[in-house]
Amino acid sequence: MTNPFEDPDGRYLVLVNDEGQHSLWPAFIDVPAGWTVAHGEDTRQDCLDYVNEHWTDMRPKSLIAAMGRKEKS
Amino acid sequence: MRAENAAYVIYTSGSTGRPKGVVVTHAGLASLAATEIEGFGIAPGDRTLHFSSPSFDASVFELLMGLASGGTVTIVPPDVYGGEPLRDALRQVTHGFVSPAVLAGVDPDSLTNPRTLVVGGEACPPGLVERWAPGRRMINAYGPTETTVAATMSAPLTRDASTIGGPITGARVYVLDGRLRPVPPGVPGELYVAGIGLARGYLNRPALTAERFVADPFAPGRMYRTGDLVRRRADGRLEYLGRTDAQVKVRGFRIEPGEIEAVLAGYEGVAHAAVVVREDRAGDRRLVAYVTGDADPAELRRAAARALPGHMVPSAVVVLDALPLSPSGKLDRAALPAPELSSVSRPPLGPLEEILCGLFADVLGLDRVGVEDGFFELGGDSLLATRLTGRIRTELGVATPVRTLFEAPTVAALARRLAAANSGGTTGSSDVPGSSGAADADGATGSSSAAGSGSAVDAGGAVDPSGAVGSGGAVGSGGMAPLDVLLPLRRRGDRPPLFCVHPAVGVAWSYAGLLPHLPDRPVYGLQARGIARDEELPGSMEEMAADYVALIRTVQPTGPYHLLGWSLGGLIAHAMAVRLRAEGERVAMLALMDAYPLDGDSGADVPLPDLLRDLGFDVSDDVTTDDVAALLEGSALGGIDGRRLEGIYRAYLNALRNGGRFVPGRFDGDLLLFTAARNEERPPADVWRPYAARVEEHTVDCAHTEIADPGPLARIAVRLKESLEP
Repeated sequence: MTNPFEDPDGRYLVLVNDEGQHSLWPAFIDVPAGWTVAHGEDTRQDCLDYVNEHWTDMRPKSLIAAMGRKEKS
Repeated sequence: MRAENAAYVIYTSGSTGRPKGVVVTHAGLASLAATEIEGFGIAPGDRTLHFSSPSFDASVFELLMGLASGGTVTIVPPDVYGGEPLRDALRQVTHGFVSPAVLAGVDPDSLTNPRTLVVGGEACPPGLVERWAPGRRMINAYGPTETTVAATMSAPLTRDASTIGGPITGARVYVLDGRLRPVPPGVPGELYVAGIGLARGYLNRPALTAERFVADPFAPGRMYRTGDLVRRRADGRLEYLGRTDAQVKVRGFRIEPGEIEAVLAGYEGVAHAAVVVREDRAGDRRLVAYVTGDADPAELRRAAARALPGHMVPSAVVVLDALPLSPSGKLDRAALPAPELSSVSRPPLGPLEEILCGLFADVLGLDRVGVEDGFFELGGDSLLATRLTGRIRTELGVATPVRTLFEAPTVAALARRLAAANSGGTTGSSDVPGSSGAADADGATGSSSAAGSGSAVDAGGAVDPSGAVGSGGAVGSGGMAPLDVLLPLRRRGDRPPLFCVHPAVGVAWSYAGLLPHLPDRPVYGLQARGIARDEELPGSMEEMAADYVALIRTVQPTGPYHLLGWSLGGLIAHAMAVRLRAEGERVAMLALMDAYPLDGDSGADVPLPDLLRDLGFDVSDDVTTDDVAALLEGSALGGIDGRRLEGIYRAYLNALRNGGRFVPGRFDGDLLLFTAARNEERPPADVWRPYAARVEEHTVDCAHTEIADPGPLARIAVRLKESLEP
């Protein structure tokens, strides 16, 4: 069984949700609710490079905000 | 602190040669704790097991079980790896987690605790469920590190071990096809896990995280693709089928062979590296590395051991000229040779070393083990060490802590320990007056300090105390008199004994290699007159046979008798069988190992080096008895001096002389003949036809001199068992 995320020649998207979490996504599958396309479509490697470049703080946004409030208080 | 904060980071194997740290949050831990408390019925007052290594996330599972429930966490000492010591720990707890591989080495008999037993980390074989489920709640838990230890749990198991159950509280599971569509029940698909237990991702690895933690098409949030192949059954439970990718599991650890390959390929002298899991013996999975280039395999393995965690260090490194490839250019796994893990320095000397060599070889799955080969160098790990010490306890009646094996990891060193412990009572002190010179040699190497640190071998029961026959000459072999005519290799057992007759060289130690394969049966060796002390030598094979028949009757007064003989010993065994029949006894089995009637040559001019080669030494033609005495000094047989060696030599020449004049009688039963395929001088099995009612030939792939090594003996034992009376 081929996994849709493992095709080196496939076309992909980069999705982002409102927590700032990134997901690789096969271009031929519908984008799930709650996610928006941040990059693509593109090659798998270029999508992964995009993620490495843009997803620099892997904490969920709500946690970043909560921890920021705590630091300020 | 919020539930989304990180709780811990645990590393798992990665395909790119870099381990990946999984960041797990408190949210997942809380729901896991709730699941454990409810699912296992844990309450204050209960005692839970803490046994798993901290590098395995089951340790978190264990801690939560006790700490979150108000129970008591029972910490198992770090030198317990399984077996009997773990059994003692299990007796103390009400709840515990044990991986199937470790559990397989524990005897559940008469153990009521733990009342709740959780298994996981790898597929659980049905036999294990049959043994452990009765009388307790046994649960199969499944979960990648990325989903906070557990994602699914089974209902209490009855018989059916293949189910990993359904999602735990807070988790969702999907079985999907290659287009991320749910597959119908009964159809295999890849397992995806979603829900509160999902880890945050891989520490500082955004791209890797985005590949594995992906958008969930069915609910808000992400799902983790496990790479595990499962099937949903009609009743909704999940059945685990295996991995979808190249990742392998060895002893519960997920390993990417690519990660090990990347490390090996980084060393100078390595052109290509391939790492595979081999299962050369059923149930015994090991990592083996194949490399091309001019690297030294031992050095490479040591380097790998420095760079990789223990569970990822290959058991063996094999250097090849080229990696075998299939027509499509992929690695041809089937064409990779089984590793030869051993080199033999000097032969095992004396029954104790032979017994230990047999047990080492059996536990490690090797054909032979050299006396100076380290157990761990040969691929032994803590689990196999536990198995080995269990076998030593069964076979020799000596409790040997695993620690002793770490301190004395070779057959030679361990034999010295056991011999010293035995001759010194139960203290394990090695400089006991009257014990052999070998014990002093042990002291000199500094490994005898165990007595002071409390880790000494505890010779709880003497090693086969040699009471029956000529007990005078125990020579540092753990109580056995290694040169006596009747040599008890194992006294214990209710079944009729097996008697094994010495070849031309008058000792019968090598038959010890049969012990692991013939449980519950006494095994005796017959050894030549004149080797233990100067005495009159027998003038013919018939005289030897009569002498040995009289001796075996002191052990077993009447038939059915079982006889085995290697080389010249086969001729003697045949003569004994004929004699026993003449005395009206039943001979249930006569088995010969690469033995053929000789054609009249006298052995009078066979030189000493030939004797030594027959004993297993690799010597040149100008070797002297003093050279050999020096070699013997380091063995458990130390104490045999030049004079005794001359006695052994005289008995050897005498036996060859007798054999050359021997004409076999006719045995009116079946003759079982094991021939050595690589003995090019062997006559056809038909030469025995005039001397037996029927000849049954079995060919063993080895040379004449190798047929009594542990490997060939293991194969021979399979056929012997069919003929041995129960």
